[in-house]
Amino acid sequence: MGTSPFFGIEVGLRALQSYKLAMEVIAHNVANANTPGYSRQRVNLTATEPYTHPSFVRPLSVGQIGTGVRVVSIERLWDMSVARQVRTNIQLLEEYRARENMFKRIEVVFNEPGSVGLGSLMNDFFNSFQELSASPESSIVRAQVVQKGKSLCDYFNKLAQELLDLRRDVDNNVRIIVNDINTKLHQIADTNKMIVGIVPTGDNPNDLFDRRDLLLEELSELSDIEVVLQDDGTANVYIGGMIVVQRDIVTKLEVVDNPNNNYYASIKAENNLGGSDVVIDSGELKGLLDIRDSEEIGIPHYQSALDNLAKAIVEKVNNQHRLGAGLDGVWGRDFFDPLGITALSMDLSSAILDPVEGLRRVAAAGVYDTDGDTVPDTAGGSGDGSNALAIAQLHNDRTAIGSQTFSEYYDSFISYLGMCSRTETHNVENEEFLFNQLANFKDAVFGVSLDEEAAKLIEYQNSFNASAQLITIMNDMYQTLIDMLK
Amino acid sequence: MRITEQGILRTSLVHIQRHFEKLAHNQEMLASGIRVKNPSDDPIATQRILRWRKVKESIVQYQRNISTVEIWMNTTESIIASVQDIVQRVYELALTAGNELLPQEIRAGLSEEVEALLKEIVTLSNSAVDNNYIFAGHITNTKPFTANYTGGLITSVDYNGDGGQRVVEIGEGNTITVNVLGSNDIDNDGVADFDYPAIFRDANLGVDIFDTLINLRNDLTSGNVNNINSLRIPELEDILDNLAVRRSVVGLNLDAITLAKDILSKEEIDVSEDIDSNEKADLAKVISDINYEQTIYQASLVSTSKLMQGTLFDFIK
Repeated sequence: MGTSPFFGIEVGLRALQSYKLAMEVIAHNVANANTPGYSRQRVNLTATEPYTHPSFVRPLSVGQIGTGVRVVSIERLWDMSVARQVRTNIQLLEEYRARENMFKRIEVVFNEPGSVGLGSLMNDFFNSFQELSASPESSIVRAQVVQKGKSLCDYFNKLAQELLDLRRDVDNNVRIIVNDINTKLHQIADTNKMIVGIVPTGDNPNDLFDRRDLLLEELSELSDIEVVLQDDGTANVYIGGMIVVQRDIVTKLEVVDNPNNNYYASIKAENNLGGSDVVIDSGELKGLLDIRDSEEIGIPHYQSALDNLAKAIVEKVNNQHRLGAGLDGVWGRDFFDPLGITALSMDLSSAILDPVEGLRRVAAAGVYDTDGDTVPDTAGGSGDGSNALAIAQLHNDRTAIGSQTFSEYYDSFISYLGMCSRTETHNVENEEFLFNQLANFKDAVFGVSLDEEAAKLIEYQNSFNASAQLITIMNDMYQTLIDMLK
Repeated sequence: MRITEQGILRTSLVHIQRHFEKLAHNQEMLASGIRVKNPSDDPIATQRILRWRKVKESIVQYQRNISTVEIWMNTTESIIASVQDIVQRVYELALTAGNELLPQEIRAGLSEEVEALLKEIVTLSNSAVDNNYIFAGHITNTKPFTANYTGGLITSVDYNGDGGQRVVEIGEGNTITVNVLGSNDIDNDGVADFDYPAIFRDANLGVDIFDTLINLRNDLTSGNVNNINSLRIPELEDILDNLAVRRSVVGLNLDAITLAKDILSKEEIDVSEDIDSNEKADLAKVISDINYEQTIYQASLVSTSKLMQGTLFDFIK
């Protein structure tokens, strides 16, 4: 006895089905050759279970007899460690990019070494006092002093306001990104839910895995994440060590206005609003948070530096100005408003701003002790510019702010800005280079090569044709048998 | 390693974009002539540029200061010269009058001329630059010398100024005194109140142009030849000496500031060059970089297009 008459045809049929499926998978690959995040799929063909056949002469006939081919699985070509490396790279790249962009915007605010920056306004201001020392009687020169003083204050105010506005912009972006993160978390959870329905049945939800991987990469652009794959095919996602996606359940990030930080956004977990902030270590969010909050490299650094400079100028100039007298013989006046010791609030004193008497009050003249009691009692005459000279010389005072002149302090924080910005640009370039390397690695494993798919297509097509031919021949054989019975 | 079509395209694109970026950057430098537009372009150069700008603007200010004081000092010198001429004339008159043989009518007539010359000196002592009296110390808004009259003749001249020194910087930490005092006796008591030299009344040297001329006029009117010879003429000689010294000191100061001006001009040029060398683009280098980048850019475009020439699918029949 042999195998069933239809055995051979069955083998052929199974082959046809298998190769048809194989070609369909190739079609899927080719169609998705340019789809972002697509990992190529391939069929795993295996011989079907062999069959032991009973016979007369001995319990078993020759054999085992092979029964054909089947597709055992449609496999997705993927590598977990490459995927993780890519995500790490993306995080860093977006973190560096975010900082690079913001540094450039801070540079635009300061506009150095352009022709009209704070540097040259400080020069103009102190040089106007030089002019005053040489011509203390001149109302034109006095008007110049007041005007340069006002320009200096206005510019400090402007810089401070622009930095504040920039910081607020960054805060708004932070809030938007947290929203984006939450959206992606929900999308990942949904994908998990769909996957979890399929994996237990033994199927491979390859395209769902691809979609989830793409979402994870997009999420990595925003924040650093940790991904732990579960046995049921789902992926748990952690941010800052805190679980945010567990299968299909999302623990969102919430934004809470922080009264200790200008009411800027603090990022909390939705189930722990009173607790400490979620720790973000990389991604665009980290870059922005650094720029918003870091005293060392972010906007606060420059706000402090400007405030320090403004305070130092106001206090040093006022201290000297009080020692001198105006054309009205009155001394002890402030040039700048003594309460305006931040860059935002810096202004001339009301005495100097007075439209009628202000000019005369600028204290160019010195004050002297004529009666020998070491207390100054007489103001110098209209031609006395000695106090104006003293104020002008503050420009070269090497103890003006710490152990630097005002200009040295300013020049060095501008240079520091340039260095931070340049370093970040280099970081971006390096990371971009790495990005391309990794993309190529990823391609080597995941990517679709059209030439390769074409070759496989030809292979499967030939096998398909051969199997079809086989069925025809087998059919003829059985036809012969059947004809024998007629 | 497996290479995919996407992979090749990606790598090529990255390189093309890099070259294009460099090309664009160089074009911008060419168009603007500036190499350092932002601190990040060159942080160290930025610091240098800012520092040299401050120095340059200070230099320009010192030059302005020098121009301002030059006017004052030139005026001072020419007034002293005029006073010298007048005192010289008075001296000659005194010598003539000191001759006993001169008839008293003539001698008396000379007193009118001395009175007139005295009034001229008073006017000169109240010289001003830009409405600021130059011999008044710091009290430049008030005439330093007022003459007191009795019966149409000057009896005394009071000093209303102070001992203020007009000090101006002509270089970092480098100052000069611009003015000379008209008198160093503020309360007109004949005792010097300062150590500073003065032109018209120097109580430290016992020199007083006004007193001497008033007394001479009186001596001429009264015919006191003895006084004229033993007092007035030596006083006039001392006055002329003082004037000569004062004038030459002003001249020396003028020379000093001229020298300072020259030095500042040179420094200004040097500093400008320093600024330019840091800030400006080296156009020759930029142009040659552009040519180089242009070539590479074109080459990468061509090679990329040759790569993307179809796949195996095109050949399946």
